[in-house]
Amino acid sequence: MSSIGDMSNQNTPGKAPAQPMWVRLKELLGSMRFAISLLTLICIASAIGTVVSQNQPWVNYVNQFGPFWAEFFQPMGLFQIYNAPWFIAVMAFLVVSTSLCVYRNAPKMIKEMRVFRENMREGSLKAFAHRWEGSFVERSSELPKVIAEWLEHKGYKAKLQQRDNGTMVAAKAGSANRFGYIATHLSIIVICVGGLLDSGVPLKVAIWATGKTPVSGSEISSGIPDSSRLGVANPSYRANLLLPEGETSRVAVLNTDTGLLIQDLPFEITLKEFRIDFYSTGMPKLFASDVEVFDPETKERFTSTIEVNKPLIYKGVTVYQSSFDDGGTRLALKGIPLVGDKDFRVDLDGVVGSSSDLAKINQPYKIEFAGFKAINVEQMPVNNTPEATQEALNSKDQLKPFQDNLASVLGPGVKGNQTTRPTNIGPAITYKLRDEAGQAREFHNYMLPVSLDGGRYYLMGVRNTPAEAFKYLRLPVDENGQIEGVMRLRAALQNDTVRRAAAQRFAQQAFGGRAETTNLVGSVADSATRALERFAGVNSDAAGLTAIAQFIEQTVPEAEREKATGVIIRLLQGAMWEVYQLSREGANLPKAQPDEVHGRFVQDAQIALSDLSLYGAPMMFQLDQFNEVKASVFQLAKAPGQWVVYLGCLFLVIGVFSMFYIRERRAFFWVTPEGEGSKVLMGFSTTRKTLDFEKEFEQFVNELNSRARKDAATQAHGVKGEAT
Amino acid sequence: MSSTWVNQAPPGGQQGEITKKAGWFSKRFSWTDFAFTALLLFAAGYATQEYSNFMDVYEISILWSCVPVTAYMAYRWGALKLLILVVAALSLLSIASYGGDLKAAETRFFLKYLLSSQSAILWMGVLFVIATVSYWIGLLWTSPTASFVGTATTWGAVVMGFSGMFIRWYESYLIGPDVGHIPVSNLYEVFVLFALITAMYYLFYEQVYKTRQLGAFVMLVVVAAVGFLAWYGVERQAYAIQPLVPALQSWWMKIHVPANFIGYGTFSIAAMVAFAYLLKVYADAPSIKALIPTGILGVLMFLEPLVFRSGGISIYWGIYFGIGCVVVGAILMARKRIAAALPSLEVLDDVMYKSIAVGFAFFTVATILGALWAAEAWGAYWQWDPKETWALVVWLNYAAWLHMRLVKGLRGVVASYWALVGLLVTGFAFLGVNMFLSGLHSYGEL
Repeated sequence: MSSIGDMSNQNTPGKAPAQPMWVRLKELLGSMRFAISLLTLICIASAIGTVVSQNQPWVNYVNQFGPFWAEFFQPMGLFQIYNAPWFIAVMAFLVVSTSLCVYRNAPKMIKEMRVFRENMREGSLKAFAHRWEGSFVERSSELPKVIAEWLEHKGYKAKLQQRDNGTMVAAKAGSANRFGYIATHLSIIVICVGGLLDSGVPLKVAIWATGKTPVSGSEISSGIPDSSRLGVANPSYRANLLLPEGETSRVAVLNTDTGLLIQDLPFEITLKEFRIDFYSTGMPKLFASDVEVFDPETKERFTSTIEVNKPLIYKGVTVYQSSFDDGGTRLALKGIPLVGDKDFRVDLDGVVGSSSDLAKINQPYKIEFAGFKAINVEQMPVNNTPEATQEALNSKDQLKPFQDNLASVLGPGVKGNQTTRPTNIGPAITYKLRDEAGQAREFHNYMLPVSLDGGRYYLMGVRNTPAEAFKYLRLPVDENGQIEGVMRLRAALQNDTVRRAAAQRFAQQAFGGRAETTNLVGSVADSATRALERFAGVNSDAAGLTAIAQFIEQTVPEAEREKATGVIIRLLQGAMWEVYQLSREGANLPKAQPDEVHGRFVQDAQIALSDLSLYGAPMMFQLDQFNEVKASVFQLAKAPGQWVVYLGCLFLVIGVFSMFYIRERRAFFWVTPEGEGSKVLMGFSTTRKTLDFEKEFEQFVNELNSRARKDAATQAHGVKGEAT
Repeated sequence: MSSTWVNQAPPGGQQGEITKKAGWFSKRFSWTDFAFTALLLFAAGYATQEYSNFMDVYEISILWSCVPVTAYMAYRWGALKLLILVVAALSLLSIASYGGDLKAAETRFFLKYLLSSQSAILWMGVLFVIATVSYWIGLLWTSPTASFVGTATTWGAVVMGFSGMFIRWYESYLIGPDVGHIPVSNLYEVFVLFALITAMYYLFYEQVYKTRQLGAFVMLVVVAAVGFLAWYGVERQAYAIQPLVPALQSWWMKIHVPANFIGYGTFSIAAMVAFAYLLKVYADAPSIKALIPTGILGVLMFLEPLVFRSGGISIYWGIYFGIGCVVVGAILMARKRIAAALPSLEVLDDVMYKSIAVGFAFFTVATILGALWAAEAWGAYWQWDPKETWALVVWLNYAAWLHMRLVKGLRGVVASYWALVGLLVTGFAFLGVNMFLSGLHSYGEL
């Protein structure tokens, strides 16, 4: 009925062909069809942007889609969709379309909000779907005022118009609903404009206008040319800064798709300390940077702490805690040889992030100090016994009875009997050994022994590619808790003289005591020597238990293999024990008693040495000492559009709520004299018919009925389920 | 003869026919409103005095803003007063029983089986299931008693659920003062919140529209959420309270998350009502074929949580999906019976519109709050993170729905299909993004 001024294109059929091109274009741009199409396009593009990972290096896309499709998608901007020119163009069209819509409709609406439409004709009222007729005892000169007061009490604003044959009472309520329309549409424009100010566009314009050229990362170290520097006055940017502890910076780095730009900052920032804190579960609890800021203009100096959720805002630049890194921790490593019959240590110093040539210690490798972590929290068994470990491993896959499951979820929101708990297992380093061919293996070594399966081990991890998980060598600690025992044993095993002596000793002790077996000593010693040689990998590619297995497979018929394996393993174990004793003698250590401690050590060491054949490096580096230097990664942003966007958001919220919760209604009462009293024709209308409107009309009708003259007929149209 | 109609009953009229005042305060104040507000003020004052060192100035502001908001809501909807009083009483009882020691839950019977957070949430789940069954019996066999049981058990579930959440809040501080936080921080907690908000909104509409028939439909979503919680809790032990990572340590969480879930909850209600609408429209069609799209959408709704699971479908999810298909099938079979019992299409349409409108309004607020928070935590109010982007897609979807409705007068079948598809999109934004796409919002991984 009174739906003038909708925010849509008012279709005016029959008129269009005669209009000039630009008018038709304007009409199309401002139409709701066009706006909805744009919105759909934005929806689809946005959704694609969440599925195709954005801003990845080119190689990743080639790997993911293949070279053909990657080449195909790239020009469509699928890999930087939110910055793609066509996406920004769609956004711009949306702004244009919405602006046109506001421009065309807002004046009409504001007018509509004000007017009462008191010129409504009686004939028009009769066409209202919701109307009521009745008679009142009040005189026609008095009734309009009574009705107006009554309406005002109901929250309406009323206006009276005297006419020759009667009075029109025109009332309206909830006009602010129209304001809601305007506010929501304005907010879209304001938000988009604000967003544009903070997007990459101003920077691109600035680069283009001032002729700045981004540089590659390697060029930066050789000094930054002015053509790659952005001044303090740059109004909008989002830059990064990696700042190691103790260092100061006056610039930040801007990543563009073609390289880096250096952004000057209006202050100097020094990282005094980066603090990281953990909960007992190993989850990070706090990332905080204690910084000192110096303003060269005012010579002011102050300290501040930047945390996640607590950025520092100074001179229009907001400094966020974005990430952290190693800032060049100094490492003191000990190189331990894994080949040859000598056991020795080589000292090697390094800084995380740097690399070093190992030619100086006669190794054909380059070592790259890739990372250091002082705290490593892992789920470890609560009780360090083999049984508990097994239980912890099993508990995940076992189906528990129903009542256990139920019992476990009752009570407070904490987990019940836990078999593992997060434990800090100490510092660890990551390094890479790169050979002359450029092939690298990555190593991950813990500094301290870790309690596992009832024993304590140094964990030395290795992997061939970053895609793999580390495989860990478990080196058992000796009775002093050191790595030395197993390394001495390794060196001893590689020594031909030691092997022969150990085999001889073993044979002698096993068979030499009794007269009837003395003649066996020689051949047993021989066999044991060979077993040790196989295990040590002498003159062979294979070593360890694999080599023994290969040997058995090649030389023993299948039927006897099981028996032969048993014999050889016993030989090996016995001889190994003697190698162990000899290795101790060489280090002037007391003879080991055949007790559980030493027994287990030799057993574990044998497994570790067997695995060592797969380690793939001639030397391992154990972390001896470190001096940790952390670095904080900050994001520094100047976002001039931020407050514009927030203002738009405010409009949006006000608009949305006034649109939904303020209902616009109009009521018209045409009062004419009828005898002593008056006759009333009432019409009720709204832009949006809802049940609330129906209910209000029903209430109007009920009240009017109760006040109308009972001796005259009343008539209502539009009341649900009721015709009179 | 009076020269005014205001505040005067018409001649021979009833007392109740005095002209009603319109507006925000159109309801008559009763002494309970004043007493309740006084109680809220006292509670806020006590909390401020006792716990101010656990709150920053923003959190204290939020606490005090809750007073007028809650007071007003309770004034408009009287039933809230009783609900809040009972929840407060149960929560305080539980806190008193704990006496500052989590171990008390092992020895005290009431704590263990009723008033520890997990037990209370379990009760919530059980009551929701009973409510769903009761509502369905009430709908299919037009039994007002069964429907009443449905309403009563839904209220019971809401009481237990909210008590459980408050107790969980307290328990988190018992684990460690640095661990304590409002329980809206992970997928498990927000699923409880989702079930509660959806049920609360439904109860409100139930009172406004004086119909209990829609409970059968709305409770299906709630029960699906409970089913998810059961699996997530038992299988993944997701109920364990986890401390907050630094990005979540902010007062923004207290308003951003609940606002979002008002949106999700009411969108769900709208979709379920849309389902009922389509059922009623097509119930008398000569062939069931007319309902095939509706049935497919219904099954998709059940399928949605499964699609996002990687690594095969376990027995649990197999059964879950089986039940879902049976439920949808049974509803389609009984369409005539259901359609006859459902309220009129106008009412269904109105509930759908109101739900989407309130959901959209709160979703708008939530997204803006999220942007404000992101500006503080991540350094940019908008950076096309998958969750942000999908929130935008959901927002645009409902914006278009409302546009078509308000401007073009769209209603009926198309609006209903759209509302159902809208929930599928919302479901993806809520669940799918967490499972499929990595991003900054990866707090609730499965």
